[in-house]
Amino acid sequence: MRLNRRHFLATSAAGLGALAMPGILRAQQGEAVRIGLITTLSGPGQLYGNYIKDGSEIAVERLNAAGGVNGAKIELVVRDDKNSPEGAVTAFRELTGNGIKLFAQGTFTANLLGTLPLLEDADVTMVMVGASALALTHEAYNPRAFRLGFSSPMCFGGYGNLMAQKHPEIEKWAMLRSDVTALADITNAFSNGLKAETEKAGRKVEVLDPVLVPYGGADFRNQISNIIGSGAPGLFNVLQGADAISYYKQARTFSLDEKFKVLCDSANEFAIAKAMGANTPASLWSWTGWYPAANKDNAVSDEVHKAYIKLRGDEYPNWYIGVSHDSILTIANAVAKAGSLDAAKLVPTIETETPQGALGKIHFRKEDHAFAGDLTYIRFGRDDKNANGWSVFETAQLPGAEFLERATPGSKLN
Amino acid sequence: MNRTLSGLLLIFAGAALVLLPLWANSGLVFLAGTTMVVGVFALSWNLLFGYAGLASFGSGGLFSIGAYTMAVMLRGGFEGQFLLLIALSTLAGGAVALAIGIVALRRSTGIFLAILTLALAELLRITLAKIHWVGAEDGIPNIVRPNFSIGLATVDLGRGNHYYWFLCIACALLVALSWWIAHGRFGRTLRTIRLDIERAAFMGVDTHRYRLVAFTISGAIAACAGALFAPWAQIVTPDIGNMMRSTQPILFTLLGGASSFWGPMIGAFLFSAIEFSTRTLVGIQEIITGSILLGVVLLFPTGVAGAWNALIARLTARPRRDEATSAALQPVKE
Amino acid sequence: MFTLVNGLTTGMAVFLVAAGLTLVFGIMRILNFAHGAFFMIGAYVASTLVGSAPRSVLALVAAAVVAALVVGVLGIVVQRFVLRRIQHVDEHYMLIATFAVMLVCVGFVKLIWGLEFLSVDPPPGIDTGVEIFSLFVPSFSLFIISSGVVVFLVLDFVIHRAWTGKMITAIARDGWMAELLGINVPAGIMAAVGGSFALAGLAGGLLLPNQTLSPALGDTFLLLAFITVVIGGLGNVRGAFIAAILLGLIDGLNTMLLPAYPGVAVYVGMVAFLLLWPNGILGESRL
Repeated sequence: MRLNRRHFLATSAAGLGALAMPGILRAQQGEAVRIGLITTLSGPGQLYGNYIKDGSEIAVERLNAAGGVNGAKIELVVRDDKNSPEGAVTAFRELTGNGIKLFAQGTFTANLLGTLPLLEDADVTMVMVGASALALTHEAYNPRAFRLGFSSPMCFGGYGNLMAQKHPEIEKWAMLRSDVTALADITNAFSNGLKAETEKAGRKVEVLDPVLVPYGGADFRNQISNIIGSGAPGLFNVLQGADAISYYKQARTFSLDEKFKVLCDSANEFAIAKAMGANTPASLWSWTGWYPAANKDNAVSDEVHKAYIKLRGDEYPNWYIGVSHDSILTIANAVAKAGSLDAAKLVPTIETETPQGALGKIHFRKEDHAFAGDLTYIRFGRDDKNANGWSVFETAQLPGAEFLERATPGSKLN
Repeated sequence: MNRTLSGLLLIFAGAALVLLPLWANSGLVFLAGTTMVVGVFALSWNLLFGYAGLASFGSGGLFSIGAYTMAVMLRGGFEGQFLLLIALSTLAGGAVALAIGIVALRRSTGIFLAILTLALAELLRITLAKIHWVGAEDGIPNIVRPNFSIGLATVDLGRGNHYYWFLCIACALLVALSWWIAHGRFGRTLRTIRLDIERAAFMGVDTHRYRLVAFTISGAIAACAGALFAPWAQIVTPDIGNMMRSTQPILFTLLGGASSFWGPMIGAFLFSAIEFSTRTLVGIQEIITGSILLGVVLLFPTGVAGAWNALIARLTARPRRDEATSAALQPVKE
Repeated sequence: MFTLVNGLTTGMAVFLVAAGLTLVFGIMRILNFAHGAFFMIGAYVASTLVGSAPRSVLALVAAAVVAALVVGVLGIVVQRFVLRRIQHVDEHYMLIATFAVMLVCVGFVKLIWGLEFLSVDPPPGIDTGVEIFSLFVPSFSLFIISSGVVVFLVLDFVIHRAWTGKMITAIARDGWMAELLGINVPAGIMAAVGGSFALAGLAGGLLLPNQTLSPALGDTFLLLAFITVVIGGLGNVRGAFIAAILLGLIDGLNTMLLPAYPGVAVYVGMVAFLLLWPNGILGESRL
């Protein structure tokens, strides 16, 4: 919360924007710009909610250290959605009742679907943090909301494409996913991306139907034995959190690493390696939303990374940190440029602005407010030479815009 | 004295609820509406537990049936007949409860019934999460608050706080209905069965039929509460009937006091009040909620209503004491 | 064929968790909601002791035993300060009390161990697989199966053969009469409750290499253990043992015959069992 005047004048575009609109500046000076953050801070989603809270707080601290918005401090008001739509609605109504008009909300789709219909009445502008479900920018599209998250066709279509490029020799892929209907989007997208790219190169690829495992299950050995029996040399796994780690642990006895030439995980990135240490699979691909080491020439990314290490002492931040940081940044930048809290002014500003965030230039597609940032994929695995037992072997980046699905705001895709 | 004081308190609480939107924050209003609905839901559960002595652990499933019936119907464009939709959802819940009751009640009671209903509710949740037609895990969002017409008058429930006041009236009616059932001949007979099933049977009461009817009524009211809830939250998801939902009425009832008709309602509001006042203490929610529950169970094993009755009895300190204690001791196993 | 072996593994894992649950029911007549949470605490305690890579099977078992002791002591504390006080009130108050204890436990686990996932590897010796009649069986599965059988045999002996069991049975059947006969009833109950909580802790330690540690770990097993205990006949350890095996086999058949609906058959099977044998396959038992 330290205010550094020199720093403020030198770097804050917010300051310049405000000078151009002296009337508005005066109106807002002294009064904090309040941003409501609604995320999951209890129950099973709390892990991710905590990341979002950390990332958002880092953003607020950085922005305030740089002088705030138009000379006003940013204040983050955090509420728990209690893992349910009605919890999210209660929090949303409480905060709008207190006059808050800027919101960042994330983790679960259903909780967002609960608040989206309420944006108009309260004149709210919202950034949906890290949300990937298609509905949010298609059938449930709301012109006041922006998705700073990666849609499934984008990140997993890109994933399939990348695998087809990197491993043209693999002609048969198996897939395995938790029995959660929403995850079907992910396996479909991967399969489509894989097929599209192979066909373009004039080759053929067979993608087997996904093997389903119980969600929140205790034992995955039956399915592991099934998937090994499939004889495919490539495997794409879509499980989340604790399930994923239990699965890789149980799969170790079956030497999953040796049975498959290429192992891909959907999006658990370092959570697996951090938990499994020296028993991490030999080589595992994963998508990630933000990996500081892949953004070497991005100063913002470095600063956020450093701030997170200072905060939690963890060198490998979860991707939600970067995404939630950029969500707050997007809102703050728009308020600075528009000099207003009204959605009528903020929405066009967010549509045209491209502030520099940890993920790169933050830009939304105008038609449906979908984010089209770079896609990052990492390959990591067991490494006896490294003290923590694992290291990152390679990273690959693809331009997200190429894989973003068609814009159909207001109606279902297809 | 006891009656008048409690009655006054009730009227005061009712008036405060009705006038809430005039002064309170909209989040508080939303929470109050939610609490009213789950309060009625808990009341329906206690109709079964406190009066018939049957503990269901799957009431969330019936709540979910009501909510989904309403959501699907509203999505299907039947907004004009809101009253009819409520009736239909209520019937759906009642019918399912009746079917389960016919199969299960004769065979299992006590903990077996509890676990059986729990498993059925879980099955329903898993099934709903697989059906794309009702939105799978993400449920049905954007539920409209329809128009409501009686005779010539039409109220647009979508505007302002209209739906809140509609909820107040609907919940009051449901509470009145429950009161009438609980305190009428039917409720008295149920209590007899709970106290001594053999003696009741000996006296010529068809105990099985009474329990079945109670099971059905309770299920119907739970579904009705669910139906009222769908347009209030404007979204239904399979988790609307999860295990947490099924334990809600149990917590509220035991917190408020199972021996009192108003116990579940008191418990519901107390619980919401605790949750709302600790909303900024993120990260230690479980410890707070758990400790408070534990404290109440250990200090007032007859619930808040029981403690209140005991307090009044002590204050008035007249020979009426035995009445108060007998009321307070009712949840004790006979 | 593998499905069957694996079904047995799942069944034994569930039995390890359910054993304490059915025991505490036999003595106190309560369905302990907090059982899953104590199982989780056992797992966390053992993981702290043994680190992420245990050196030998013995180290793992030792950690599990220490975890069992810790959780057993916690159980006695809970019994002393919570359960005993409301013993004579309606059984449903016990339910809400254990539910509250569960919430508090989960809250403290989050505070002490954090939310990040932790993992413990199987120790050398049981981290690979063996070929039995050309069938690949993970040796950890054999470890779980034998642990389950050992726990069952010991428990069965203690309850049905040894004098401790006779004493506890006497208390469970008629506490008043037992007291008249000179048995120290509170101490007996205390020991039995401590024992059943300790079983939860032991299960947490033994199953450690199988699962990932997260504050939601308790939920994974709680419902399965509930179902086992109910199908087996409440309070009936032998029934729970058989029910756990049946459950594991049903789950195995589920993945073989209905792979599109994993985990559903357990519920359907349970509903069927409850309707056919409303008192459990071996009947309810007060030990």
